[in-house]
Amino acid sequence: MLDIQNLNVVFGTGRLRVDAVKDVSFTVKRGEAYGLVGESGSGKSTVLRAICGLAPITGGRVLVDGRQVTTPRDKTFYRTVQMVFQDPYASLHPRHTVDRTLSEPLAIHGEKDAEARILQALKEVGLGPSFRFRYPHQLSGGQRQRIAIARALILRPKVLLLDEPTSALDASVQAEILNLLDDLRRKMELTYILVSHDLAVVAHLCERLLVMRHGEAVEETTAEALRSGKASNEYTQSLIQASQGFTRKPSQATAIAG
Amino acid sequence: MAGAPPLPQPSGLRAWLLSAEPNSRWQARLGRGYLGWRSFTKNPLAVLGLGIVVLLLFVALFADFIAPYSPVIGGDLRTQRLLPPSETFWLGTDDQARDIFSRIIYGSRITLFVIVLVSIIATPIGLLVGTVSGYLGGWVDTVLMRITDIFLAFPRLVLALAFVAALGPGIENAVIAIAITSWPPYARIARAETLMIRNSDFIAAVKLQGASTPRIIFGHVVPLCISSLIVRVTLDMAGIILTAAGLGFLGLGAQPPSPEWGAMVATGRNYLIDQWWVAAMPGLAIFVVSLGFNLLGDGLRDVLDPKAAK
Repeated sequence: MLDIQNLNVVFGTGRLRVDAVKDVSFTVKRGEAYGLVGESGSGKSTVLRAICGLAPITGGRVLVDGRQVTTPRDKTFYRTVQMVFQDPYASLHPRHTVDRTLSEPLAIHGEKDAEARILQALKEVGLGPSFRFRYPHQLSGGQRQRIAIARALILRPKVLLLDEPTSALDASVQAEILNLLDDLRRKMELTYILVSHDLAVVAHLCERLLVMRHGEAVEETTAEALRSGKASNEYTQSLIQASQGFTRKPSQATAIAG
Repeated sequence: MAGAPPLPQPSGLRAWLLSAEPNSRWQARLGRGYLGWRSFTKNPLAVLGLGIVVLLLFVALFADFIAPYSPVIGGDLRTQRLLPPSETFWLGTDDQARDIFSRIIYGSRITLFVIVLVSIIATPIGLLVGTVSGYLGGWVDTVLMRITDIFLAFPRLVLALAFVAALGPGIENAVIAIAITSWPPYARIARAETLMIRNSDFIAAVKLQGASTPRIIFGHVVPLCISSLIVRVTLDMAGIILTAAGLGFLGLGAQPPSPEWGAMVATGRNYLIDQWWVAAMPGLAIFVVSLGFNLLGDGLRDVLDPKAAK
């Protein structure tokens, strides 16, 4: 479905040159959920933005459905690939109602039957028709993210790019949104690329994942290996350890006690 | 003591307006408007300003019914020249024996004409130049902003003078001259707002839906710029009125016998000591209307542009 070959993304030139992504390659099969993991600044979000055209592709190739993407992207691309942003407080237009937000993609692509499609989209993300004419400030964070997901799905894309979709939400809402995404993927046979710094989120949603550091791919591994703590790479190991929270070394504990 | 008084239940209409679950586009929009109106009415000075502006509109609309005399044809030049305010002539008469009250009433039409024309010429130009240059950036931005700088460097009254001198005096030429010198600040404001908006996620999201650049600018950027622009235009109204009056005073705006307030002040200049009302009354009208627009602008800023308030 998605084939990334030797992707390079460079911002700026000369002294200001930043190599955000260096030679990253991976393949995502149809219907698969693929994770990109790393610390902040590791270039994982930039990979997503390069795929959908928000960041420049300096080198390498991005193939969607076997076809190389064009710059600027064409309408077919936008019907195939959609994105959900990290911060639901910033990704909805503050002066547009939910109705306007959802009807915009339909209007752009000349889709008919907007009325029914909007209600259907709201239903898919677990919101009733009563939400249709609300403004974003009348919604909670979780509801906003559901609207953002509905907006991404209303064109019936095949690939969904998820840029830390839960990190701006509180813990209980995070689980709801993750389960919603998991359900939607199964129902609509979607392909996901999930970017997250949270190993638990990635392990929950994805089968395979790529660990990134300083713009480079460190290791490709599986969620299974992550859960059992069997990562071959040292850096991945340290990420797993960090995700388990702070644990005091037994020797230190006894030293203080004694 | 009786128990705590029950909280007032919102009445039917208000509940409908403030509903958290509007049933239609219109209800959502009206509810939003109602909230804005409520915070606007909390400011008594802003309501006063709105009152003055509404009064100006009313007077201009019904000038034919309100004004007791003709604004251009004077009375008996031997007996009715330069009379002080009295019961027959509320604000006195001028050197042509014309009723000043009637002239001020009809003059409101000219003032309103200038304001409306300048704002419908200058605002769209400023908005378009600002949003396009802010959103597209690059060389488009550079070119448009340098043009804006050139216009910004022109002194308004002097350019208006040159313009009127070239095209001949008249209120239309004055309007055009004021309009072409008043759009650059609007372009600057619109550009600054656009620069804040253009990198936000909701613009990226609509880009990813395949929206064209004009669609993004007009559908998504402009609605967010327009409120701060409305505030600025309202606050500039006073300046526009004063410039128009200034041109009239210099004899380059409306031509006699049309009852333009600035021209009326100019006539009164000759009688300033002995017949003060000839100049003072139209001056007062200019003052009140300018004040009204300033108060209204301040109130609107509090409602539409919470960042800039206080």
